[in-house]
Amino acid sequence: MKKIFLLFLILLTVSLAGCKPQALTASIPTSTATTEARPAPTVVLTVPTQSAFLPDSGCTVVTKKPTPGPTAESIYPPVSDTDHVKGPASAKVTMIEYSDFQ
Amino acid sequence: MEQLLKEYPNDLRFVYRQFPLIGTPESPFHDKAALSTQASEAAGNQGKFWEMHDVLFENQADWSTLSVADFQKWLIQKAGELGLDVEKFTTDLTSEELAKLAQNAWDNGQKIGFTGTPSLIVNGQPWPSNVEITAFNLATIIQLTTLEDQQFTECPAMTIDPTKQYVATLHTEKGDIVIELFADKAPLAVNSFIFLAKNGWFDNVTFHRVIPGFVAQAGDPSGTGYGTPGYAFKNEISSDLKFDGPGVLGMANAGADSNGGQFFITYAAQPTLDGSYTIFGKVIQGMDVATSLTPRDPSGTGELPPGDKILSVTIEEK
Repeated sequence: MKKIFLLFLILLTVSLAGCKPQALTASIPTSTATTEARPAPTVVLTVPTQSAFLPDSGCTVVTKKPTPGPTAESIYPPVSDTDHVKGPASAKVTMIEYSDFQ
Repeated sequence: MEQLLKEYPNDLRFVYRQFPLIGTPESPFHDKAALSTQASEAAGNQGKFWEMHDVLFENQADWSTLSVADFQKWLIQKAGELGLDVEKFTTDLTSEELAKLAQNAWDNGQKIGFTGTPSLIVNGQPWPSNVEITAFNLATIIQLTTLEDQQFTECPAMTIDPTKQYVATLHTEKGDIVIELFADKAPLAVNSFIFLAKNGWFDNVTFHRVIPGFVAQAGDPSGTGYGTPGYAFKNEISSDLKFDGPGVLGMANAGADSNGGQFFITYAAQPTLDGSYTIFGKVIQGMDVATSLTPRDPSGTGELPPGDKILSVTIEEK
């Protein structure tokens, strides 16, 4: 999850609006783009935390901890029979939306 | 979300949980939050939760200004339109059970500490409040999470012989691009590239970023431009190697010493890249194939064309 959080940090897009799910349109955040076209990945994401301390081999592993799976422990109750669910239980990504209709 | 579920039928599961912003008796918040929650659950009792969910969201403008009493009538009318048993729906709508469910949902959300709606939890982690929830961002997360299965947990062992010559052939949908690798100048990059090629990392990977006059970039199976093979190695800068024309092979990076699997081929001299990006090869055949790759820029706006894929990469040792 650390990696994904790095992504989030760098994405630094517009603040989360109190919007309803209809806002999930296919808009592409322009702010994810770097200002200048570089051969680098378009957004800085993967700078290893110890980049200044690369071992003698010159290489370091950046995925130390895998992203928690959909069933990982968290303060949010696990998905259960009483939930309203779309998509397979075997999915690698589970998105839980807590929302108000009004 | 519907679109994402269609695009990632195996990789995405979506859960809707009620968090009606009821407020307290002293300071109520949304006057119809509880009733709308109860309506969706009442429809759910007849197997039509999602149908009512959609009706509520799609027609929010129509009902948000109604009085609670008028809203109740509106809901009953919609229940009829959805083909629900209206009598049962009406009873369930204001049942003690569902009123309690809505109240509990509000209480639980308070306990968790949500600060607003919608609150999105991705694999047990809250979506950061400074990132907009867009289909694009959600898709990026899904693609990166699925990429994790492919990522390596160790750096590749050094297996190349820097005194030997290595030639890589990128078999693309548009034809072959043959590249001489500079094992002596950039052993880390060449070793990693050969390791990834032999492990099929590049197979079916799209040239995700192709900018005429600049570079064609590939090497990220997620296609997002964020993907890495799970390790990072340092820059290898040789003062005698420059981005001095078309066909120079460089490692893409996200800052110094963050080289992974992404690489690029220049379309023209790029002196501004000199010194910041490892050069580890040059195109010796098939530059016409490289220039025929479909232009696309994932950092731009608008629809992206599908792009051209690398089918496989083969390595020849001399």
